[in-house]
Amino acid sequence: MKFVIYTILYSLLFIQFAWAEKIQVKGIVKEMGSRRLMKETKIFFLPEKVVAVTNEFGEFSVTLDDQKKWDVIVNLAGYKKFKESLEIKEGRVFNIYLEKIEYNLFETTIVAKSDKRDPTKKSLTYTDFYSTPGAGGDPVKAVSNLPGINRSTQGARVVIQGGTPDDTQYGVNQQYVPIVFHFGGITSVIMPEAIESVDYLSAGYGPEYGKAIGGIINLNTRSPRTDRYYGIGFLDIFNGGLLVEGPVSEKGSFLLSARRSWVGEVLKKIAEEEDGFDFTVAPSYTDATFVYEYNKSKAKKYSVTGLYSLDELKFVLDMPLGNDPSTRGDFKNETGFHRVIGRFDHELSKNKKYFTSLAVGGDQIFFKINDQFLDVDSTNYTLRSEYQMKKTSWTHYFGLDWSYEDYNVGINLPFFDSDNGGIRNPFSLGESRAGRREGNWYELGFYSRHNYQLNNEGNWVFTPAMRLDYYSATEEGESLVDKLLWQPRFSMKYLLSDYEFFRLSSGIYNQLPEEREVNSLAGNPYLKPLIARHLNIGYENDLRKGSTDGLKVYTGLFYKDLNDLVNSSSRLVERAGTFTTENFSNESSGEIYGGEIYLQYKNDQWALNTSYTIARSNRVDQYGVKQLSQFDQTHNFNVIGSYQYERWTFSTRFRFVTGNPRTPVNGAIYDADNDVYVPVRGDFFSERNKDFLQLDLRIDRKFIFRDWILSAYLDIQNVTNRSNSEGLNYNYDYSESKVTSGIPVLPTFGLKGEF
Amino acid sequence: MRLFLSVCLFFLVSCGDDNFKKYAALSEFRVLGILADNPEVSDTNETVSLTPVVSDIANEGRTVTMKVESCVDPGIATGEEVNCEGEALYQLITEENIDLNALLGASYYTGAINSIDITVPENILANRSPIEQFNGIDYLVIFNFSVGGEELVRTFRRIKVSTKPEKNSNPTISSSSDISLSANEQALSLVAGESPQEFSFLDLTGEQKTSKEVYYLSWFTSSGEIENSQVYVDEETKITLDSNLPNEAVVVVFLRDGRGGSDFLVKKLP
Repeated sequence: MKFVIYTILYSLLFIQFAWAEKIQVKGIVKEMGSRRLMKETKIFFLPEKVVAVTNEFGEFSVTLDDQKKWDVIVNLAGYKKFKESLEIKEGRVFNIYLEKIEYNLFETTIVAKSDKRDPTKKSLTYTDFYSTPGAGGDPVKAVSNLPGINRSTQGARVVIQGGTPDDTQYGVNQQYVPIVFHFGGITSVIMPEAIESVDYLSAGYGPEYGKAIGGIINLNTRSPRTDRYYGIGFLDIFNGGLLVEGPVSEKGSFLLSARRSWVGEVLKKIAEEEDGFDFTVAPSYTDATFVYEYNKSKAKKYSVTGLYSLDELKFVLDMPLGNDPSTRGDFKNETGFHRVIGRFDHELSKNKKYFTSLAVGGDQIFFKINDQFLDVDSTNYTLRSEYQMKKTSWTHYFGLDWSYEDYNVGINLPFFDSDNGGIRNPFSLGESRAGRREGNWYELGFYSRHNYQLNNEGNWVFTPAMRLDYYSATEEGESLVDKLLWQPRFSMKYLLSDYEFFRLSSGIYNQLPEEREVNSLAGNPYLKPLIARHLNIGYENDLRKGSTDGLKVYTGLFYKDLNDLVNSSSRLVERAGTFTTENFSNESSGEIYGGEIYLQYKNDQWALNTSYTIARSNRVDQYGVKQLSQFDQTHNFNVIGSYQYERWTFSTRFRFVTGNPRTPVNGAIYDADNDVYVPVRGDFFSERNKDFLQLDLRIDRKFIFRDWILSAYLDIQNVTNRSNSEGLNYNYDYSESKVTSGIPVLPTFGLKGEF
Repeated sequence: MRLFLSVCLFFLVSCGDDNFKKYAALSEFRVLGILADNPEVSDTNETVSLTPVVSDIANEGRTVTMKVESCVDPGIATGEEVNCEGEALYQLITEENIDLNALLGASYYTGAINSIDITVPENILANRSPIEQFNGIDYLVIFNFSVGGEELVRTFRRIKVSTKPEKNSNPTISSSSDISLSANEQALSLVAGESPQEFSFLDLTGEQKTSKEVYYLSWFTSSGEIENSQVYVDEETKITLDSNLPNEAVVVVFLRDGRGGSDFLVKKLP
């Protein structure tokens, strides 16, 4: 009997197991918030210890017994452990969301090895620049924390190593663009979320670039996501914007971003409510960026980038500014540009590749005050191509950099004297000069770079290079050969190890005078290009030796010798048998020298970046008088620290910069024809503003939801509300003055949603 | 483009200060304008009579020294200093003492003083470009006022020298609003004697164009405040004299055509 009972029980048990069916279970593993698909991720099903692994699309498939509940566990480095009891049913698709331990990464990094052929190049990635305190998430503002970048008092422009703002050239995807900032330097012309990195090239930069004796700032748009559609929306007190991206085919993907400012409305409101706040201008801007990429194969990639930027200002001045009768009435300013940049990258073989990039677009400037105006409309074509070839010890680069511009310029303005010691003459002083001209000019550039490293492992790396430029805009030089500008450049490295080296870069650089200076309408078409000779030596040591934590050291000394700089000239010169005013000549020169150091330290939660630059920038005017440059800043010290705790990031920036030089005003002379006072200047730049000190704070917080992320930040510039001097403001006859202060404490709050 | 970004930035950050002394307030020695009987001449040895209009209320009449020099404009608009020494066709016109009390005492130490005559050197347009010849070049006249060797005010005006067939002439003041010695807000307005002139010029490409003058006014007062002291001729502005009314006050208006032509009016109150 006992046997029968056991047999029945055993049979029942057996039958139960025999009836436990196998079922196919499918699922997807995603990152919480970003919904990024997690590939090669192991999912454990307990208690049977069944393991599934996701494919490249984050999908997994596993066969399980049809029992009611399984403990599902995913334990992945950098993510919180996922453990849930799940009911398994036939046909059910599981979505497993993994939560990152840290969503806010903060690190200001000089990108090391990737395409860093130029030893003077420093780059900030999105992660680097987005959380920089005081920069409001802006890439170009964040660059100002790097060594060698002056603190800019002209918000919309970047000054490199004691040069002038005109000595810096701006580019997007290596194609020239006229501006990099919206009006007043509020933000750069591309939405930060559409930017992968910003490059900064300083003294001794390579032959790929030219036409700038100071340096280069280049923004690189990023590749659109290919895994799914993705969106970002943000708003803060200055502007709001949207970004969408995603795949359009198996090999193609797109990104579209657009922004519109409302800072003008905010400022108007402040001006209405704040007594004594004379902010009469209400700027607004719009920009849009479009990127399409098509990866035909691993070796061939096509991309199209579209850029649009427009800054507008309109207001009516009821009273003349500074009692200058010309500066009243209708004021209008529009500055815009658009570009379509097509690019083709082709890797011909392991050792040969090339790219070609064609940009087509236009620049528009319209500036009007009453009946005085400047109206510039141009169509631009720029072509950049490069062929790269590797041999055992050599890597050769050959490239061309060509541009053509059709312009239509109309002016009705007085002459602007820029050699004024930073003290502007009244607008009414000069008689307006009117005219309109159409025409074209072009610039040709060729370059070659040749890297030599013995068997790619020697201690020495030598890079001789040459750049050749031709400007059709200047009449200087009798023949084509006379006008060719040969610019040899050379760099070398001595490698102490993979992470430690000494470097040297030098070369000759040139730059076309500003358009207004060299045009035949109101300038001097016989001006020569500006010439600079650079020398940059340094030592770098990455003590992290491949890891992410630790210290990195960058040091450098630079010297720049500047010649044929442009100055105003009232001299009469003979042109076509008659005498006329020369307007401008190439009789000024200068020299800049200094040193810089950059230390980066990072561990799990802390990051500390310190940069210090000491420099002297001198100019010699057309009369042989030596003076400081307007942009001389002896000391420039920046410290950025950040601490990350779970979804919080706290960061701070401290800046100390020597006060900018300024020119004293020793009185004024009354212009009885125009009812204005002309300042009598003392020795140019013989005084200084008080030293600049500023402390900024930033707090970032991320809120992670299953399918989206909400980011909030509070960025407080000048948290101590220190009154920094940016110059002097004078009364109508220059007999009284008052310090013009920089920004007061300025909190900015922003929200960003990522979908 | 970069220059005009800077210009725009200037407008963006320009701000005044309510504590600065006011442009319209008359007190210390000041030149309010310099009249020329012929603001524009040919380069044929013509003589121009210049008359400074000054105010020196705070000092109630004193003797000042006036030194006048002239030369071809060294290029003020292109950044050169306002200085005739060593410049082409330099002339020391006069250096004389002027008794402001005798000349202006009856009009609250404000008004026109001695005229001086200047002969513009002939042929100063020779070898100049056709555009400069037609549009004209400036013959500069610098006035230096001093007391006991200490400079009070330096001022200058230009005499336009051109080959233009129709020369610029001075605008005239036909009438102005009545004002009284009252603490109430009062309107200030002016009627010009003629319409602004149309004039021709060569643009930078050498093409002949026409344009029209714009008349604008500069108002000054010895008491109180003027709402907008620099206005167009067809704009009305307002004056409010000090609440503690003075025994007398003076209001001056200068009419300018933007090309060197001008006229003025002194109103003594009451």
